[in-house]
Amino acid sequence: MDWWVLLAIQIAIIVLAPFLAAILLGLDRIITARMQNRVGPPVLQVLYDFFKLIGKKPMLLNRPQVIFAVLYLMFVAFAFVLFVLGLDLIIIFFAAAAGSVFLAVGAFTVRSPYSHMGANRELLQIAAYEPVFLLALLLIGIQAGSFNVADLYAVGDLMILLPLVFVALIAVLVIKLQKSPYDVATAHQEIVSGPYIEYSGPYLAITKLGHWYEFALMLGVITLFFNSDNIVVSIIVKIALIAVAMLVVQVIDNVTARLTKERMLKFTATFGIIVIAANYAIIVVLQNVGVI
Amino acid sequence: MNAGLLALLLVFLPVLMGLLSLAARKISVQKAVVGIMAITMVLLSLALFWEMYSTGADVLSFDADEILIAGVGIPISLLIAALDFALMAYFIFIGVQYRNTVVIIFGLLQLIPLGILEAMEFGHTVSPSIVIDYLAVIMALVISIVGSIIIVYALKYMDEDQRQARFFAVMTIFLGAMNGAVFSNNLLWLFFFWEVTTLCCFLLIRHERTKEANESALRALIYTLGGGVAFAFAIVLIFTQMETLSLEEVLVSGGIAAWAIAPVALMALAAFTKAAQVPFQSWLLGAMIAPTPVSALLHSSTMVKLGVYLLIRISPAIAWETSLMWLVASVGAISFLGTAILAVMQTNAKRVLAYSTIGNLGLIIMCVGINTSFAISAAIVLLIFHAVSKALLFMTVGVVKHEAQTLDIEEMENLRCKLPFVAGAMLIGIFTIMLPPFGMFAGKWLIVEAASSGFPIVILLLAIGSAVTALYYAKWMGRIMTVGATCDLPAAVKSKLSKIYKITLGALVACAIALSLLIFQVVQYLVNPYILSVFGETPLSDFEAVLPLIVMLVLFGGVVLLTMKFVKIRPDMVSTSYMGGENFEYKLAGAYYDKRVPDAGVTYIFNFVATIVVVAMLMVALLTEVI
Repeated sequence: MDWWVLLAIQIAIIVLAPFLAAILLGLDRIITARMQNRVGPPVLQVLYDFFKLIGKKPMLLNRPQVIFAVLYLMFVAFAFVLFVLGLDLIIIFFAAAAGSVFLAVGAFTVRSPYSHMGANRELLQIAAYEPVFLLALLLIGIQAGSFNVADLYAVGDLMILLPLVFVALIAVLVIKLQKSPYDVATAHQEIVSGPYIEYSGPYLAITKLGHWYEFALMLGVITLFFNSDNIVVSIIVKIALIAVAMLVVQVIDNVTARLTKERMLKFTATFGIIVIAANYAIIVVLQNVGVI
Repeated sequence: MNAGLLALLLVFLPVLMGLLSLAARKISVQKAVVGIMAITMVLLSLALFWEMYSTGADVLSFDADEILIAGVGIPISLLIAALDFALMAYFIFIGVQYRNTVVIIFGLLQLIPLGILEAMEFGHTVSPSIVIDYLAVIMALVISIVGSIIIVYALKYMDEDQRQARFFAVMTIFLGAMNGAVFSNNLLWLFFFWEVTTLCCFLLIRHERTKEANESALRALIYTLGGGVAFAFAIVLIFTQMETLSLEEVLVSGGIAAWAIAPVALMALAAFTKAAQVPFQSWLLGAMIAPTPVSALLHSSTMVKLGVYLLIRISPAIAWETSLMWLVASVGAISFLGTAILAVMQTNAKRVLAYSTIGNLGLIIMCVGINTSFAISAAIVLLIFHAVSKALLFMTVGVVKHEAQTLDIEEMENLRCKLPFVAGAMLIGIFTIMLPPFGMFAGKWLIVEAASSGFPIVILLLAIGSAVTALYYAKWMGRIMTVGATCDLPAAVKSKLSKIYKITLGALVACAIALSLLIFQVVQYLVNPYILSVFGETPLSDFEAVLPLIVMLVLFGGVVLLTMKFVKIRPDMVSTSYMGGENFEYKLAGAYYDKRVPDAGVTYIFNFVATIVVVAMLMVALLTEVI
C-alpha cells in the first residue's frame, strides 16, 4: 500500500471513529429501549444532540473548567491517534488515563456540590477499572511479545489464549460506558450526571466527543483479539466481537441496579484481577506443559 | 579544573561556609555567606559535569590521602576515623541526654564494630578513595542545585526564626555530607558521611525544640541509627571476608566470596531505613514537624535520596541473588501501594507529600529490584525528577502555610486567586510528578520491564498503586482550582509574594519544565553513560521512543495557553452552579474518602507484610551462605 493511501485511511479512521462510536451508542439506546418495551430514539439522535450542543451559546462557570474539558478531549484523542498509528500500547494507556483524570479535575474546578460528588466518584471509578485495564493490556503485550499495536495486529491467536482477559475488558467497558451497575459517577437520579453537570452547550459537546474517543479506543483494543490473514474474515469477526461485548454490556445494564462505590471497587479489585490472574496462570501452565 | 578538586570543593565548601556563617554574628553577613555558597555550589556541580563530559570518561578515580592543616599533612582516613568516633560518641551522648536506651545501644553497636574494624584495618589503604562516575555526578547535581535552591528559599522562610544561624549551618553541612557520601569509594568514608546526614537530619527535625519536635527527632534518629548499625556490620563483614574496603572492588567481585550476600542485604536494609520504606516509614512522617524547608530538603535532594542512591549503587550486587532482587522489589512495591492508599485519606498537604515521597522512592526501589538496564535507567530518571518536583511541592506548601496559615488541602480552595503564582507552581509540581513525561516516562519503562522480566506480584501492586496515586493528586489539583468565574477578592486577601519565593519557585519550575522537554538529552548525556559502564548497553538511544511523551507535554501546554487566550468570559456567559433548586451554604466534600478504614489499620497491615519481606531478605542472605 502506498504511504499516502495508508495515511488517508488513518486520518479517516481518526476523524470518523468517534462518530461511528456515537452511532453505536445510538444503536445501544434503541436496543435498550426495546428490552424495556419502548420504541427508543432514532439511531442518529446522539449525533443530533451533539451538533445542536455545538450551536448553542457558550455558557460557563469559569475558564479552568473549559481548559480541563479540552485537555480531556485532546488526551483521549491523542491516545486514539497513537493507537491508529500502531504505536506503544502502554503509552496509549497513559495518555488515555491522563485524559480521564483531567475530566475529574475539570469537574472539581467549579464550586458545585453535584459536580464535586461526581468528580470524586469518577476518580474512584478510575481507581477501580484502571488496574484491570492495565493488567489486561500487559497480558496482551506479554503474550504477543510486543507492545506495539502494529505488531499486535499481526498476532492471530489472542482470543484463544486470552478469553478471560476479554471478559475482564467487558467489566472495564461497563464502567467506561457509565452503565449499571457501575454508573456511580454520573448516576442521573441522584447526582444528575455528576462530573458533566456544570458543562453546557459547546463545552458539553467537547466532553461528549472525548467520551466517544475513549469508547472508540476501547473498541480498538477489542479488535486486537482476533486477526486473520483473510481480511474479510478478520473484519467480520472483529465486528462480531464488538457486537458480543456490547450486547453483554447491555444485558448487564438492564438486569442490574446501581451498586455502591465500595461494591464497585471490591468487584473490580477482586473479579477483574482474579480473572486476569487466572488467565495468566493458564498460559504459564500451558507453556510449561508444552502445549504452546 | 580538575574533577577531583571540584568534588572535594563540593564536599568541603558547604561545610566551611556553614561553619563560617555560624561564626558570623550578624544575620545579614550569614545570609550573604549562605547565598554565595548556594550560587557557588550550583556552578561547581555544573563544572563537575562539564569536566566529566569534556574528558569523555565514564569514571574518574582519585586518591585523596592527605590534607594539609597548618603545614602538617594529616591522612584523611585518620581524620575521618577520628570524626567518626566523635560522631558515635555524640550519638551516645544524645541517648544519655534524652534517656533513650535504644539510641545508646545503637550508638554502641556502631562504635564497637567500627573500633574493631579500625584496629584491624590500620594501615590498610583504599585506592582510589574517590570515584566519580555519572551516577555520582547526577547525585551531585541534584544535591547541589535543588539543595541550594531550597536553602535560598529558607533564607526568607526562616527570616524570623531565633536560631537561624545554627539552622543554616546544619543545612549546608548536610549538603556537604551528601556530596561526600556519593563521591566516597572507601566504605568507611561513605559510612561516616552517611552518619553525618543522620545527625543533620536529627538536628533539623529538633530545630523548634518543642516536645513534639524532640520526639520526632528522636524517632528519626532511632530508625536511621538502626540502619547505620546494619551498615556498620555490613562493612565489617565485607572487610573480614573480602579484605577490601573499596566499594568498587566489592561490586566487581561478582559475589563469589563466602558471605557476599549478607553484607548486600544489610546495606539494603540500611537503605530502606534511610529511604523510609515501609515498615520504617514512621520517622519520615514525624519529620513533618520540622520547618518546611527542612521537609523539602529531606524529601527531595538529601537524606531519603541517599538511601535510594546506595541501592542503585549496589544494584549489581543485588543481582547476585535472584531472591534478593525479588524481595527488594517487593519492599518497594508494598511501600508504593501502601502509601498511595494512606495518602488518599489525608487532607494535610505535608502528610500527603510525605506518603507520596515514600511511594515514589518505592518505585525507584522496585526498579532496583527488577535490575535490568531499562529498570535502572528508570530508577535514575525517577530520582532526578522526583527531587525537582517534590522540592517544588514542599516549597509551595510552605509558602501557603506562611501566607494563608494553612496546611490543609481542603482549605486551599480558591488558591488560584489568592496566590496565583504559588498555585501555578504547585500545579506544575503535581503535573510533573504524575503526568507525562516525568512520571509516565519512567513509569512506562518500569511497568513494561516488570512485565517482561516476570515480576507478576510487583506489576499487580504497581497497577493498583498508580491508579490510586492519580486519585489523590487529582483531588488536590481540583481543590486549588476550585473558584468562581472571576477572582474578585478584597485587596486584603491578596498577598504580595516575597522576591526570594518568586525566584526560588520560579527556578524550580524552570528546571521541571526544561527537564521534561529535554528528557531525551537528560537520558543521553547523564543516565546512559552510567548505564553503559554498568550494563555495557544503553536501552534508550532512539528519540522516537520518547517522542509521543514530549508531544503530550506540548499538547498540554498548548491547550492551556490557547484556551486561556481564546475562551473569553463575558458577564452574560457566566452561569451559576446547579443546586437542585435549593439554596444553601455548603462545604465542599473533601472528606469524601473518609476514614472508614482507619490509618492505623492500613499502616499495620502494610507494616506487617513489609516486615515479613524484610526479615525474609535477611534470612535469605544468611541461608544462602549457610547452605
